[in-house]
Amino acid sequence: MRTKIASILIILFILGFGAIVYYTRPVMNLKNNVLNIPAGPLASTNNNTPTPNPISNSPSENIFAMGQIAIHNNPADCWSTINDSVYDLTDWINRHPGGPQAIESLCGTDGSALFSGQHGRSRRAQSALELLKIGNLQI
Amino acid sequence: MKILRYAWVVLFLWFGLSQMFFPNNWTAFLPTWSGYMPIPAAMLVKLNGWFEIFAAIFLFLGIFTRPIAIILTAHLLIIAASAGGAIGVRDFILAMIGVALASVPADNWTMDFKAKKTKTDPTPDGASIQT
Repeated sequence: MRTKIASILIILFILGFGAIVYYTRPVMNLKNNVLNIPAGPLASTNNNTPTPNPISNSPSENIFAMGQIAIHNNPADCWSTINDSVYDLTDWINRHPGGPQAIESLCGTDGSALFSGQHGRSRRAQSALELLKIGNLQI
Repeated sequence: MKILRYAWVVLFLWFGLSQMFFPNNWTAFLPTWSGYMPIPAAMLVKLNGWFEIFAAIFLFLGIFTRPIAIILTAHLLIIAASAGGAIGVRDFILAMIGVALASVPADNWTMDFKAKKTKTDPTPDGASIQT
């Protein structure tokens, strides 16, 4: 009996753990903020009518233009692109071990050079950013 | 021991639920070393809350009471060391409840106790089998 209850609880714990990781990724907040994004990433090149982004839960399916990243340029709303991926760094500014200034300087910009200068080609640093990824840069 | 165990259950349930439902109130308490893991702050708080809720449920039912008490003691000591000051002292004292729980066998309201009793004395109420 005890073992059965413990097994059920452990399975529930693991499932809940996975659900929390999945549903609290920054990309999940994008749908709530979709009206704040001024123009569709690809549509704006063909006509002048702003259209909302088709926001996906999968970061690989969201494509943002540099202009869209540029408006998220303050510590309260900080996006940056690093090596063609787009990250929401807002949550992380105050927790960056190197101090908040290093991240604040990336807000709204292409941070590839600064990131590479600090972390080189560290696979660990790259993969650690994965949870903060919200999309890819429109090339 | 029962009082200490249930007091700890209430403590971790309250903190765990609060972290699950109001993560933004807790992100300021994250230690700076958590920045080495670029996990979103709200996610980290919710995961911690989820862990505390389950640990409280295990403690409430009295399943793996001593191992859970040891884990929660370590958890509280890490928080105490990270927070420091008055909060650190408070959490250190709270952690001592875990030391007390882990240092004695599980009380007779726990499933651990019942499982152990069944194992050592499989007959109901300890009655000996008549042959």
